[in-house]
Amino acid sequence: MMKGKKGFTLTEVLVSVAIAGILVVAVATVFIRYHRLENRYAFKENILTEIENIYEIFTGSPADFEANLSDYFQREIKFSEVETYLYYDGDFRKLSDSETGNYLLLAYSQEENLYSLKITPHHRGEIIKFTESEFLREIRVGGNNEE
Amino acid sequence: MKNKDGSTLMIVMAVFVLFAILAAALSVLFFVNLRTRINEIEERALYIELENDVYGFLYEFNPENEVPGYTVEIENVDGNYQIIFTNSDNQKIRAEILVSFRNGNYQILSWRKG
Repeated sequence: MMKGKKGFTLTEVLVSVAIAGILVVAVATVFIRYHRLENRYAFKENILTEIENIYEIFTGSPADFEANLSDYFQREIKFSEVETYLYYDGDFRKLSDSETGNYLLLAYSQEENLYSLKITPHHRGEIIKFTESEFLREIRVGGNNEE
Repeated sequence: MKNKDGSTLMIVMAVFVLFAILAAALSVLFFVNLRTRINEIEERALYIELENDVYGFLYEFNPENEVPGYTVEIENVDGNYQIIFTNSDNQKIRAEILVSFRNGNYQILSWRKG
Protein backbone atom coordinates (compact mmCIF):
# COMPACT_ATOMS: atom_id res chain seq x y z
CA MET A 1 0.00 0.00 0.00
CA MET A 2 1.26 3.35 -0.99
CA LYS A 3 0.81 6.22 1.36
CA GLY A 4 1.93 9.13 -0.76
CA LYS A 5 1.63 12.59 0.66
CA LYS A 6 0.79 14.14 -2.71
CA GLY A 7 -1.76 11.69 -4.08
CA PHE A 8 -5.41 12.36 -4.91
CA THR A 9 -8.14 11.15 -2.66
CA LEU A 10 -10.51 8.54 -4.06
CA THR A 11 -13.31 11.14 -4.18
CA GLU A 12 -11.18 13.48 -6.26
CA VAL A 13 -10.32 10.75 -8.72
CA LEU A 14 -13.96 9.70 -9.01
CA VAL A 15 -15.11 13.27 -9.57
CA SER A 16 -12.40 13.82 -12.22
CA VAL A 17 -13.27 10.58 -14.02
CA ALA A 18 -16.98 11.50 -13.93
CA ILE A 19 -16.31 14.95 -15.43
CA ALA A 20 -14.02 13.46 -18.08
CA GLY A 21 -16.66 10.86 -18.90
CA ILE A 22 -19.37 13.49 -19.31
CA LEU A 23 -17.10 15.56 -21.55
CA VAL A 24 -16.11 12.60 -23.71
CA VAL A 25 -19.73 11.48 -24.14
CA ALA A 26 -20.84 15.03 -25.00
CA VAL A 27 -18.04 15.51 -27.52
CA ALA A 28 -18.55 12.05 -29.05
CA THR A 29 -22.27 12.71 -29.46
CA VAL A 30 -21.60 15.99 -31.25
CA PHE A 31 -19.03 14.45 -33.59
CA ILE A 32 -21.12 11.38 -34.40
CA ARG A 33 -24.03 13.67 -35.26
CA TYR A 34 -21.75 15.81 -37.39
CA HIS A 35 -20.39 12.74 -39.18
CA ARG A 36 -23.92 11.52 -39.95
CA LEU A 37 -24.95 14.92 -41.27
CA GLU A 38 -21.79 15.16 -43.35
CA ASN A 39 -22.51 11.78 -44.96
CA ARG A 40 -26.05 12.92 -45.65
CA TYR A 41 -24.77 15.85 -47.68
CA ALA A 42 -21.66 14.26 -49.24
CA PHE A 43 -23.70 12.09 -51.62
CA LYS A 44 -25.74 15.15 -52.63
CA GLU A 45 -22.56 16.91 -53.69
CA ASN A 46 -21.62 13.89 -55.79
CA ILE A 47 -25.08 13.80 -57.40
CA LEU A 48 -24.76 17.46 -58.35
CA THR A 49 -21.30 16.89 -59.80
CA GLU A 50 -22.68 14.08 -61.97
CA ILE A 51 -25.66 16.18 -63.07
CA GLU A 52 -23.35 19.10 -63.93
CA ASN A 53 -21.08 16.81 -65.95
CA ILE A 54 -23.97 15.15 -67.78
CA TYR A 55 -25.55 18.50 -68.64
CA GLU A 56 -22.20 19.81 -69.86
CA ILE A 57 -21.94 16.82 -72.22
CA PHE A 58 -25.52 17.30 -73.35
CA THR A 59 -25.16 21.05 -73.87
CA GLY A 60 -21.93 20.68 -75.84
CA SER A 61 -23.61 18.58 -78.51
CA PRO A 62 -27.19 17.49 -77.85
CA ALA A 63 -27.35 15.39 -81.01
CA ASP A 64 -24.28 13.34 -80.02
CA PHE A 65 -25.29 12.97 -76.40
CA GLU A 66 -25.52 9.19 -76.42
CA ALA A 67 -22.05 8.69 -77.89
CA ASN A 68 -20.44 11.38 -75.77
CA LEU A 69 -22.03 10.08 -72.58
CA SER A 70 -20.77 6.57 -73.41
CA ASP A 71 -17.28 8.02 -73.84
CA TYR A 72 -17.54 9.83 -70.52
CA PHE A 73 -18.54 6.72 -68.61
CA GLN A 74 -16.37 4.44 -70.76
CA ARG A 75 -19.24 2.05 -71.25
CA GLU A 76 -22.03 1.81 -73.79
CA ILE A 77 -25.12 3.77 -72.82
CA LYS A 78 -28.16 3.36 -75.03
CA PHE A 79 -31.18 5.61 -75.09
CA SER A 80 -33.33 3.12 -76.91
CA GLU A 81 -36.14 3.70 -74.44
CA VAL A 82 -37.58 6.96 -73.22
CA GLU A 83 -35.93 6.70 -69.82
CA THR A 84 -32.48 5.43 -69.00
CA TYR A 85 -31.23 4.46 -65.59
CA LEU A 86 -27.68 5.17 -64.51
CA TYR A 87 -27.02 3.17 -61.37
CA TYR A 88 -24.43 4.35 -58.90
CA ASP A 89 -22.68 3.06 -55.83
CA GLY A 90 -23.77 4.19 -52.35
CA ASP A 91 -22.37 7.70 -52.42
CA PHE A 92 -22.74 8.40 -56.15
CA ARG A 93 -19.03 8.35 -56.85
CA LYS A 94 -19.07 5.89 -59.73
CA LEU A 95 -21.43 3.82 -61.83
CA SER A 96 -22.49 0.51 -60.39
CA ASP A 97 -22.42 -2.76 -62.33
CA SER A 98 -25.65 -3.85 -60.70
CA GLU A 99 -29.00 -2.22 -60.10
CA THR A 100 -29.06 -0.17 -56.91
CA GLY A 101 -31.49 2.24 -55.30
CA ASN A 102 -29.09 5.06 -56.15
CA TYR A 103 -29.59 6.16 -59.69
CA LEU A 104 -30.10 9.02 -62.08
CA LEU A 105 -33.13 8.67 -64.26
CA LEU A 106 -32.42 10.29 -67.62
CA ALA A 107 -35.24 11.18 -69.97
CA TYR A 108 -33.67 12.19 -73.27
CA SER A 109 -35.75 13.11 -76.26
CA GLN A 110 -35.56 14.84 -79.59
CA GLU A 111 -38.35 16.49 -81.49
CA GLU A 112 -37.34 18.18 -84.72
CA ASN A 113 -34.58 20.56 -83.65
CA LEU A 114 -35.44 20.53 -79.95
CA TYR A 115 -33.44 18.27 -77.66
CA SER A 116 -34.40 17.82 -74.05
CA LEU A 117 -32.86 16.08 -71.12
CA LYS A 118 -34.55 15.61 -67.78
CA ILE A 119 -32.50 14.22 -64.91
CA THR A 120 -34.21 12.88 -61.80
CA PRO A 121 -31.86 11.75 -59.03
CA HIS A 122 -32.86 8.93 -56.70
CA HIS A 123 -31.24 7.86 -53.46
CA ARG A 124 -32.31 4.56 -51.92
CA GLY A 125 -35.18 4.55 -54.36
CA GLU A 126 -36.50 7.94 -53.27
CA ILE A 127 -36.46 11.03 -55.45
CA ILE A 128 -34.01 13.64 -54.21
CA LYS A 129 -35.28 17.16 -54.78
CA PHE A 130 -32.78 19.97 -54.75
CA THR A 131 -35.03 22.75 -55.94
CA GLU A 132 -38.72 23.21 -56.43
CA SER A 133 -38.56 22.49 -60.14
CA GLU A 134 -37.19 19.50 -62.04
CA PHE A 135 -33.81 19.40 -63.74
CA LEU A 136 -35.01 19.78 -67.32
CA ARG A 137 -32.89 21.34 -70.04
CA GLU A 138 -34.26 22.00 -73.51
CA ILE A 139 -31.88 23.06 -76.24
CA ARG A 140 -32.78 24.10 -79.69
CA VAL A 141 -30.16 23.06 -82.21
CA GLY A 142 -29.57 25.17 -85.21
CA GLY A 143 -26.99 27.48 -83.79
CA ASN A 144 -23.98 26.71 -81.71
CA ASN A 145 -25.15 26.18 -78.17
CA GLU A 146 -21.74 25.73 -76.65
CA GLU A 147 -21.13 27.81 -73.60
CA MET B 1 -12.24 19.53 -2.09
CA LYS B 2 -8.64 20.34 -1.58
CA ASN B 3 -5.65 18.32 -2.53
CA LYS B 4 -3.00 18.02 0.07
CA ASP B 5 -0.57 19.69 -2.28
CA GLY B 6 -3.09 22.43 -2.99
CA SER B 7 -2.67 23.07 -6.73
CA THR B 8 -2.63 19.69 -8.52
CA LEU B 9 -6.39 19.30 -8.64
CA MET B 10 -6.74 22.82 -9.98
CA ILE B 11 -4.43 21.93 -12.87
CA VAL B 12 -6.49 18.84 -13.68
CA MET B 13 -9.69 20.87 -13.62
CA ALA B 14 -8.11 23.55 -15.80
CA VAL B 15 -7.17 20.88 -18.36
CA PHE B 16 -10.79 19.69 -18.37
CA VAL B 17 -12.07 23.20 -18.88
CA LEU B 18 -9.61 23.78 -21.73
CA PHE B 19 -10.64 20.48 -23.29
CA ALA B 20 -14.30 21.48 -23.06
CA ILE B 21 -13.63 24.88 -24.62
CA LEU B 22 -11.60 23.29 -27.43
CA ALA B 23 -14.31 20.71 -28.10
CA ALA B 24 -16.98 23.41 -28.15
CA ALA B 25 -14.92 25.55 -30.54
CA LEU B 26 -14.32 22.58 -32.84
CA SER B 27 -18.02 21.70 -32.80
CA VAL B 28 -18.96 25.24 -33.78
CA LEU B 29 -16.32 25.19 -36.54
CA PHE B 30 -17.58 21.85 -37.88
CA PHE B 31 -21.19 22.94 -37.94
CA VAL B 32 -20.36 26.26 -39.57
CA ASN B 33 -18.45 24.30 -42.19
CA LEU B 34 -21.43 21.99 -42.65
CA ARG B 35 -23.77 24.96 -43.01
CA THR B 36 -21.46 26.40 -45.67
CA ARG B 37 -21.49 23.11 -47.56
CA ILE B 38 -25.29 22.94 -47.39
CA ASN B 39 -25.47 26.48 -48.79
CA GLU B 40 -23.06 25.53 -51.56
CA ILE B 41 -25.21 22.52 -52.48
CA GLU B 42 -28.29 24.75 -52.63
CA GLU B 43 -26.47 27.31 -54.76
CA ARG B 44 -25.12 24.69 -57.16
CA ALA B 45 -28.60 23.23 -57.60
CA LEU B 46 -30.07 26.68 -58.13
CA TYR B 47 -27.41 27.46 -60.70
CA ILE B 48 -28.21 24.29 -62.68
CA GLU B 49 -31.83 25.37 -62.55
CA LEU B 50 -30.84 28.83 -63.77
CA GLU B 51 -28.91 27.31 -66.69
CA ASN B 52 -31.95 25.24 -67.62
CA ASP B 53 -34.18 28.29 -67.40
CA VAL B 54 -31.79 30.30 -69.57
CA TYR B 55 -32.04 27.66 -72.31
CA GLY B 56 -35.81 27.66 -71.92
CA PHE B 57 -35.79 31.43 -72.26
CA LEU B 58 -33.61 31.29 -75.36
CA TYR B 59 -35.77 28.59 -76.91
CA GLU B 60 -38.70 30.97 -77.12
CA PHE B 61 -36.72 34.18 -77.07
CA ASN B 62 -38.62 37.38 -76.72
CA PRO B 63 -36.95 40.36 -75.02
CA GLU B 64 -40.33 41.28 -73.56
CA ASN B 65 -40.78 37.91 -71.87
CA GLU B 66 -40.61 37.71 -68.11
CA VAL B 67 -39.22 34.64 -66.43
CA PRO B 68 -40.85 33.71 -63.10
CA GLY B 69 -38.32 33.66 -60.26
CA TYR B 70 -35.71 35.72 -62.13
CA THR B 71 -34.81 39.26 -62.89
CA VAL B 72 -33.84 39.43 -66.54
CA GLU B 73 -31.95 42.43 -67.87
CA ILE B 74 -31.48 42.60 -71.62
CA GLU B 75 -29.27 45.01 -73.45
CA ASN B 76 -28.55 45.25 -77.15
CA VAL B 77 -24.79 45.32 -77.68
CA ASP B 78 -23.62 45.73 -81.30
CA GLY B 79 -26.54 43.72 -82.62
CA ASN B 80 -26.13 40.98 -80.00
CA TYR B 81 -28.05 40.59 -76.78
CA GLN B 82 -26.40 40.79 -73.41
CA ILE B 83 -28.69 39.02 -71.00
CA ILE B 84 -28.24 39.09 -67.24
CA PHE B 85 -30.18 36.43 -65.42
CA THR B 86 -30.45 36.86 -61.66
CA ASN B 87 -32.35 34.67 -59.26
CA SER B 88 -34.90 36.90 -57.52
CA ASP B 89 -34.35 35.28 -54.10
CA ASN B 90 -30.58 34.87 -54.23
CA GLN B 91 -28.53 37.51 -56.03
CA LYS B 92 -25.48 35.21 -56.04
CA ILE B 93 -27.22 32.93 -58.53
CA ARG B 94 -26.51 34.97 -61.59
CA ALA B 95 -25.27 34.58 -65.17
CA GLU B 96 -24.26 37.08 -67.83
CA ILE B 97 -24.73 35.78 -71.33
CA LEU B 98 -23.95 37.29 -74.69
CA VAL B 99 -26.14 35.84 -77.41
CA SER B 100 -26.42 36.48 -81.11
CA PHE B 101 -29.48 35.66 -83.17
CA ARG B 102 -29.19 34.84 -86.83
CA ASN B 103 -31.90 33.33 -89.01
CA GLY B 104 -33.95 32.59 -85.93
CA ASN B 105 -31.15 30.57 -84.33
CA TYR B 106 -29.29 31.61 -81.26
CA GLN B 107 -25.61 31.34 -80.63
CA ILE B 108 -24.17 31.78 -77.16
CA LEU B 109 -21.03 33.86 -77.56
CA SER B 110 -20.06 34.04 -73.92
CA TRP B 111 -21.33 32.85 -70.58
CA ARG B 112 -20.12 34.30 -67.32
CA LYS B 113 -21.22 32.82 -64.05
CA GLY B 114 -21.97 35.00 -61.04
